[in-house]
Amino acid sequence: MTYFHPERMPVLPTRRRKAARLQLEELVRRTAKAPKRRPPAVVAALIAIVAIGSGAAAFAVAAHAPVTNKQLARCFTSASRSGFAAEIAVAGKPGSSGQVTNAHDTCADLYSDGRLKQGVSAEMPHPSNGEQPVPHLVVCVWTDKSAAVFPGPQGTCARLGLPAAARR
Amino acid sequence: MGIDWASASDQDLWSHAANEGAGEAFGELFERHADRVYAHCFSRTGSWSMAEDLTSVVFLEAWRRRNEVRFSGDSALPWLLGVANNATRNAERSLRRHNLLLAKLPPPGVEADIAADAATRVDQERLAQHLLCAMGGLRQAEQEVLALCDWAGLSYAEAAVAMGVPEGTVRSRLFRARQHLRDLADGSKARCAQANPSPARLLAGGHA
Repeated sequence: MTYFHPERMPVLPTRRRKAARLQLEELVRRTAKAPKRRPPAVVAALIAIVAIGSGAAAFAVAAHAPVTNKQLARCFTSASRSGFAAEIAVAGKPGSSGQVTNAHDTCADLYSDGRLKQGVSAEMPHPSNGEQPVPHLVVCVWTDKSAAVFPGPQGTCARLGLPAAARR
Repeated sequence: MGIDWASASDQDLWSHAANEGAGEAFGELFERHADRVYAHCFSRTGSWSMAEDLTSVVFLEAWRRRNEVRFSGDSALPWLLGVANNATRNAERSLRRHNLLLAKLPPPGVEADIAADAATRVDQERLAQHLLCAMGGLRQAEQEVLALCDWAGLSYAEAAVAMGVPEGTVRSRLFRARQHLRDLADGSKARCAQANPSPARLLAGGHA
């Protein structure tokens, strides 16, 4: 019992296909290693020394900064810079102040869907039915100036040594 | 010397893309499977334009979930169709999530301007919407197994990968779905002949 024969169906329009392919290729080049990227060991050690030597110095990052990289955002499942993060393509109008809000809401959607769960270092393969609890989320500015959404209270960004995303 | 992506296996392409950021490798995967994903998205939505957007969404989602990929033999297609099932089930949310990237693509349907092709597409949309309406009384999982096995032509083993269930479950679910569809056929004839449900309604609950 077969209703449809894909081989007889019209194919994805050429212009659309080309554009989508180019876009995917660019996305792959930009993001292939992003979730696993960590600071070099020497830099990490220096940061640790500074943090131990003068506690306040570790928080000497700007309190707020704009998200200027609108291409991607990351939804972390723990308040840790080296924790698991799901990458998202952020919805919203490029350059608008709504970008940060959308990164927040999109990550909240992932939690609500059951695709992300606080403290779990993987995306859940089969979202559960029904809405799942969404933790309090804060939007920080990642090292590449994109939005990084972490579960945690106000002040989480500063604790992680990241600026909080400025809202205009 | 460059790599001949066209002759590489799906697994090799995926590995090059995920581990080395080889965009061309993922581009080749897209080229290989985009039409099947497109057809599957169409069969689940009854709308060509939505299927075009969702095809992009499926590959964006697949990339986002690249570490979860499962191959059937060497093919990534069954898993991609599983991603497509999720994307079509939550179509509006999926489209919203990838809105920024989709906005950079040409608008859907830009090349559907040849009269004969346009007429075929309209006919196929009507047929798909009629079938979706007829399937409206089935459970979501039954609709999906019919779409994968009877519309997209996957084997039981491939559908098992797409749905993330054992092969035996696919067989029994497909059997029940076909039987259920036959049972519903009389009632759905009149209902679906009159109804012209929108893809969004069909997607939202599967009950037209």
